[in-house]
Amino acid sequence: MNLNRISRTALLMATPLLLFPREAHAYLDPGSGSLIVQALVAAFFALSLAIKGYWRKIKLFLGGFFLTGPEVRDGDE
Amino acid sequence: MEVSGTSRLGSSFRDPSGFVFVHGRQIHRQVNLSYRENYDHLMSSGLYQELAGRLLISHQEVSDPPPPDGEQAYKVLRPEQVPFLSYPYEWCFSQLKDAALATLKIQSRALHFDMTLKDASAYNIQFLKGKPILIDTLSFEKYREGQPWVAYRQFCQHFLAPLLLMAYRDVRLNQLLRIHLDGVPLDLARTLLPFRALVRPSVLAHIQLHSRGQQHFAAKGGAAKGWRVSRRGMAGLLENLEALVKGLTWRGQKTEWGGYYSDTNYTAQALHKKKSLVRQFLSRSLEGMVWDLGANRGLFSRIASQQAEVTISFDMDPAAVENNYLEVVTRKETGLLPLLVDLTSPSPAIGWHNRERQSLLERGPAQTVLALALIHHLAISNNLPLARLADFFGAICHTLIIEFIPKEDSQVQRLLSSRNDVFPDYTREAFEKQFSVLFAIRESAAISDSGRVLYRMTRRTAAG
Repeated sequence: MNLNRISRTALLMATPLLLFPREAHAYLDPGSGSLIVQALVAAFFALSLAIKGYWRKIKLFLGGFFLTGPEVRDGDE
Repeated sequence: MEVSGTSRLGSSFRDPSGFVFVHGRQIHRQVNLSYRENYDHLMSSGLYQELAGRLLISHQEVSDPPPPDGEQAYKVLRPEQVPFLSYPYEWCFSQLKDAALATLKIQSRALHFDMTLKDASAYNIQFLKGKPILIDTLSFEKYREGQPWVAYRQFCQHFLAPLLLMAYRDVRLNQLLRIHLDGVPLDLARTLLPFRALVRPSVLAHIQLHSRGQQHFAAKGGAAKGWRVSRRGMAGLLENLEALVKGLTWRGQKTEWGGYYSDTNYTAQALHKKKSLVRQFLSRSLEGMVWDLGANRGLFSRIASQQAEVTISFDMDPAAVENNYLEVVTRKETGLLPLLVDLTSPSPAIGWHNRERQSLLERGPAQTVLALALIHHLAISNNLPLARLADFFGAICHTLIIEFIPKEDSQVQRLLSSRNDVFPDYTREAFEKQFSVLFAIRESAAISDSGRVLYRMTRRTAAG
């Protein structure tokens, strides 16, 4: 499963989870809208990366049950 | 107060961290005390060592000249000198793309050293020895956990929006950067991009949502207070931007000049002779920079770059410049810079006070200009009288290697085929007479039986 596909499905549930107070100071005005959109998009990618990580672990775990032999390969990468 | 013999650059005023000035014809940078902590971190964290010479311009700290603004000063830096400054509206598609990828890579590496780029201006990138490099050493600041990337908006406007427009709509839309100095406004990009681009999830986020967000929160000052971006989120954002930019391609390389070299009236023998004459004429003035005007894909620029330290290869055709640049990349050429310039309207001086971005002429004169198979396009397609052409060349070079193409030549006949011949003065005699006002003709040689002649001239006020 690729990152984009996971990302798309995770978007709506993801956003509020990683947002905490922080101020940004810059000599250029980054623009409120830009910062908020960035925070939303970044949160969404953070969650997708996390899901991707868990997904790999789950697959490895399941792979351990169903496959025998010394190597268990993650063929989705 | 300014130290005598120094002048501050017109483009260097936004960032209070320092400024750029010229002393002894060399670029220097004053680092202000307010930037001390960030500068020290850049130098001591290992980030400078990681990037310098590859992605970031290398520099030396110097005590001479003294800082022009001593009260504010922490250090004076002398960076490696960039022989020719170019601007994003003069770059082809792949140059802008490579500059964008370099910016993302720098931001990504900076985060590993707990720093972040505080700006992502395309003007902070220059092409040095064939590669994009960040020239603004003061672009880094210490990263605070949770801090958003303050340059995200600028990256999208300076790089992402024009690249998307070039890839999805028309490659000539890079010229929007000439009007919009802080990059293409995202609402404009949204209006111009086709539906098939806007529905891509990444484009939806970085352009569509971004632009709507800008509009929605424009009048709500302080709305962004409290919003946070985790390190993992930042990494994901950068990865996504990188994948998006990497995946963009422009496939319109076959334009006007696509098959130019196979479409000329040169025989193989005449082309060989022209190459050897150009090489011979160039060898008479080895020092300094060569500008090859109307360079197409750079066949003769490459002959120049074998001898000259730096050759700038100008053409007005985006496909020709693209192909030329791709060849620079493939062959790892370090002395050649292809640029997109329309000589009938060369890059003007723009920005605040008309001093932020220099005109093409302000960046000259070149030691040598090559004008091969060019003059008939300017004189006939653009109705330029020979005297005005001579004036222009007189303003941009000391040595001129120029090809005269007579009216009888099939290429000229082609230009005249659909219009009245209103050029009774376009003759070899008139050409020599007009150019002799400003230049001394040093040598000339016939290239082919068609009457094409190659000249080497030197500017009368110049030595030699």
